[in-house]
Amino acid sequence: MREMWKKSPNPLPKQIEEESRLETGNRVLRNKSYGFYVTLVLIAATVAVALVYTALYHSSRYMSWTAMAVMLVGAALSLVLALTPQAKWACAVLALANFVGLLFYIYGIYFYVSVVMVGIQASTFNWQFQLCTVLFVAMLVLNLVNVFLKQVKDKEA
Amino acid sequence: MKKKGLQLLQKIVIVLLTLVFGFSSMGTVIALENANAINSALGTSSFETVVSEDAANQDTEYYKSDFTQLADLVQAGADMTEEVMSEGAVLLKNDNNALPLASGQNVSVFGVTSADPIYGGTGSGSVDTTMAVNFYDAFEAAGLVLNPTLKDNYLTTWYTAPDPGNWMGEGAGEYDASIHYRRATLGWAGSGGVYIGGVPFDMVTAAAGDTFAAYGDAAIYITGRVGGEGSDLSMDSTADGYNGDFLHLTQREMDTLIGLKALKDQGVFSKIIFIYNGASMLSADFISDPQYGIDAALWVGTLGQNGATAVGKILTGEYVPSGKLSDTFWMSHEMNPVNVNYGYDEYANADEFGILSKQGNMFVPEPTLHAYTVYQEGMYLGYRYTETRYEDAVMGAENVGDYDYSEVVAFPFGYGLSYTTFEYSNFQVTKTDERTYQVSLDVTNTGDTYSGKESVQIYVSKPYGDYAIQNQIQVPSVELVEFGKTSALAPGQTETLTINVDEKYFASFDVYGAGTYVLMPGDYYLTAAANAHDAVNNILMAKGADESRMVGQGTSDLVYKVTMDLNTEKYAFSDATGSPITAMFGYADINRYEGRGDNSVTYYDRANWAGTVSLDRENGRPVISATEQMAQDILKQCPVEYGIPLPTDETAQEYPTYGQDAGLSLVDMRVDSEGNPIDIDDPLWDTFMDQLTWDEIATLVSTGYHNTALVESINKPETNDENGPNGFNLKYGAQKEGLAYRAEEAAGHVDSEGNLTEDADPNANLKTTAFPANGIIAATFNRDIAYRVGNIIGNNGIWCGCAGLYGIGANIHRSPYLGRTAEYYSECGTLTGLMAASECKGIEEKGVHVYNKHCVINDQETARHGVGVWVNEQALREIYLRAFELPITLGGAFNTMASFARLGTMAGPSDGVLGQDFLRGECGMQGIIVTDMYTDMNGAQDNSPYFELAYGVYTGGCDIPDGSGHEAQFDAYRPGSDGTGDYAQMAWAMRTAAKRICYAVAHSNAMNGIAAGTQIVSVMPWWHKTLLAVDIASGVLLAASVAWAAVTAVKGGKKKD
Repeated sequence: MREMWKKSPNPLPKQIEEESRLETGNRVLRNKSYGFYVTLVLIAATVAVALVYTALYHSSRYMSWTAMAVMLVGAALSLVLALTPQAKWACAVLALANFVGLLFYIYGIYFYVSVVMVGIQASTFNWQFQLCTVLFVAMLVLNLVNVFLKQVKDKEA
Repeated sequence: MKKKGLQLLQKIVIVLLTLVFGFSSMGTVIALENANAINSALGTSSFETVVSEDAANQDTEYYKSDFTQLADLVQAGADMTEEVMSEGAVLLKNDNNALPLASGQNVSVFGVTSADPIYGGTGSGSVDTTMAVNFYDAFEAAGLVLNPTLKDNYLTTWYTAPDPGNWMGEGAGEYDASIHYRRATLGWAGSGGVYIGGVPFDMVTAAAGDTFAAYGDAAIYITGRVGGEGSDLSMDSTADGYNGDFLHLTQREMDTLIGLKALKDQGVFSKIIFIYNGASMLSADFISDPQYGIDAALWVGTLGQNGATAVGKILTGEYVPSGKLSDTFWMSHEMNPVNVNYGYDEYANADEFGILSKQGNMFVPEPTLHAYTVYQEGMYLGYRYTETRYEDAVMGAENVGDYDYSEVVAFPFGYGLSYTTFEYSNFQVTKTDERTYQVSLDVTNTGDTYSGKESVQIYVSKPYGDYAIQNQIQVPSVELVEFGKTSALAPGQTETLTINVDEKYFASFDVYGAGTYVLMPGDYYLTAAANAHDAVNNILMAKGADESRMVGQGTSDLVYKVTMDLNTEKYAFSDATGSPITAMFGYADINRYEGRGDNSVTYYDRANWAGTVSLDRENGRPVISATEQMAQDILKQCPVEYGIPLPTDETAQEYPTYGQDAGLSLVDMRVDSEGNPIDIDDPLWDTFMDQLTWDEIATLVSTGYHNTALVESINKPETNDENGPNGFNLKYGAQKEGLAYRAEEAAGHVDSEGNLTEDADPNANLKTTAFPANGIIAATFNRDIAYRVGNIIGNNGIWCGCAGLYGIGANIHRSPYLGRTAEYYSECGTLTGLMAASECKGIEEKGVHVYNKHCVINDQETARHGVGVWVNEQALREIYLRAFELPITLGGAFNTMASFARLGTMAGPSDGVLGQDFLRGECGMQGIIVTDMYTDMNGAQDNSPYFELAYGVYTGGCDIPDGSGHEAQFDAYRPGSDGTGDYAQMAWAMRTAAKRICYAVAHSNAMNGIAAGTQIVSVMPWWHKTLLAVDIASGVLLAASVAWAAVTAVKGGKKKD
């Protein structure tokens, strides 16, 4: 692409703009390893989980808005980091956000769990709880795995 | 490579430590929020008492146990349960003196219940069975010789039931009647199925072979039915019930009786003895049905710990039965019109007004907000119905309709036989003061063999005249007002019983006229009788009824008549408080509720039995529609959930004073310098309460999960409260405050973690005494027994470290299909109230405060979470509330537990009229109202939220939740930094509730060991220390690991440079 640009004697402004975007994209993706792409997917997944959780629990006394906020802020921060030379830290920030989000989720939901488990009325865990718990735990596990994946290619000697 | 390996190691360590630190920190936060519940579960404590030298020399055992050794208390409890059964079991039938059997006789015992007795109910009314005596052992101990083949088969071959699964019924096995014979309740409250069980009779005979002949002195057939919390008994859907009816004999049971009758006719068995082991009465037409050939029948309720021993001794005549029925035994429950209205209906248009029609949870799919039931029978419940309609039928009243007493009642309320007979004579009534009628009569044992006791019941018949009809007062023909019991009379011996009757029981609540209790004008009859039916017959004879129309006989010799004028003043004021008694429960009567709209209900009316009583279970229920105000009244009880905020103060009112130290500890509030109890209205209490901070008060009114909260600043200890209605469901050594634990601690039998060691007295690991069904206690008609039962429970409280009992059960046996009949006493509010009063007195004397439950109208388990009960005020006061009133006024009951059910639209703990105006204003109750399980009301469960704690505290409907950790609910009402705000009224309500909690604890055994100068200080229990250690260790290691990784990274960077 670079060669093509060099070969073009009089590039039009739109072409320059397009080429510039591509250049930026290249720079972001340059030297990135497969872990980095997993991180990007997990950022999207984190946002999705936060939204699903909010949709299911927003009217419930068991909703932890802190958990949702931590996850969204963590995802955003992670995305920003991913676009900088410090991209290798994006996975750690995302994992930490997911972990803290899980902790606040637990804090918000534990009373429900105790009620179901020791309440005098026969009851069971509803599907909302089961789904959110699986999502939160899955996100933590995936993020922990991702932390150990190579995010940036080793510099050539 | 080496560097990469190090980085990987650091990464792993940091990740692991982060996880440990995060989870342990959050765990610590959650644990500390629930410290009370954890302490309660682990038997640990977050406080300890520091006793000063002066205090150590004082006697601080304010409530002393009657026992110095735990073993003695355990034995006394066992003996007491035996005594209760010896006087409470009711002999229903004894043709040709079939009972007693002779010791040494050979008998064959039938029925799966013979091998699997019913000791108590399920749920919070469950009892410990580890020390329980079973039927076989009891019968053998009484001298009977049992058919070993039958016994072995019932205990092994036929002792089979499906896997009950987990508590939700998951994994429960498939019931197969061809291989499963044992009674089975699968899952919690039968969520996985309820089976009566039973062995086909041909299988029994085949297994028994030719053994019957050798054990033919009697065939003893034991049938049982169990019930309990969370699930009523089914009228039509029991899997193996006869037409689904749980309280009808099953086909197998009928086949067994027919088979036994055939063997009796062949001379194989000399007689058939039927024993019913259950708290809910069966349809009892079979007992007199000749095809079954039953010679003797005995009702034993649920057995408790040692009731079976008494049953064995009753069979052999060592005990002579003297129990009298505390409920009517109906011929068929089809004839009991209450069953038409039992259960619930749904406001059809509830959704229009925002009343949620959500259906409970998936295992017990019941509605919450939009469920209702109507106590359409009003005053005519149980014997008040059967005997009143009978009297009207005999007297030829109009509109009696189709009513044949002998087809309706198998055994009337108060009925019970003995092995001997009694005669009443010399009946006299003297009015000894303004309101006391002294009844005396001679009771003679007219038998010639057995000594026995006799319960004599006193009934009143009030005038059903123009005043009653004009003011819509319903008047049962007879109502129990008192009773007495003789000592054991030898044959020929006579005892003069003297029974004082309070005239206040002659008064009726006149809703529409005087608006208070009135003595109606006309003739009143007092009679002494052996049961309710005899009482009516006596009065009928006094009224000159046609004897040929009567069922049974009566005598006017046992009747006293007094004529009164209308008096609307004499009983218009509370005896307990002097407050005027006024009609206040209009909101519970759909005919008077101001938001009733077009709704109305026709209650049973004595003037028109045929037109008001229905036996049609399909179409006989009244229909009520929701109204806008109904919706508002329902939803306002959850201010946060439904967005209807509490009203701000109407008048400018200052917030209370907070945190003003006066140097007062809770122990200082017990008695004054002269040793007199400090009244709850004493100004010193204001000074005392000024010391508490907002947060301390919020904690007090938010913490009550089987305890009350610790408040260090005033040296208030944390207390322990425990179920249940038939005795504490707790081990003696469970709480460190208990005498049992303290004794073991002093003996060095407690390890470093606070657990009892192997050297400890094994009795400390036993659960406290489990008593028979309260219906059996009521059937003794012996208040001294009830008092002594209470005293054993009180002693148990001291030994197990409990200052509160979540009991006793004072709801009414409105229908036999009620699941919790074992927890409650009777269909009669007066019998319930009088017996409960004695029991409460015995409990309270030991510094254990009862929380009588569930006040009020928690008379069914179906849709119990929020079912709206519509009941007229006369019935509410004279039956349902009387059961709670008398324990307070006569027995000194300190506390109540509020009902799950709603009175009209008002949830029990929301109801300030009930809590403030009635329980406190009229009855003079001084202690605490606790909610029932709070998470079953606030929407934490799958049912719809219908009550919030803050609302209940605000109205005075409750003081404390059966739950904990709800302080945040009160934050919205906190005063500003200048000490002012819009919710001073709420602040005062919180303070008043907190004061009641403190007052109750100050006068409880929780103060044992605490003297002036004693300090209650917070300590860290072992679990708290452990959590903190993990937090700190993981935090430090995490920080070190991060630092290590950082240093390594920096060094690596420098090397590169």
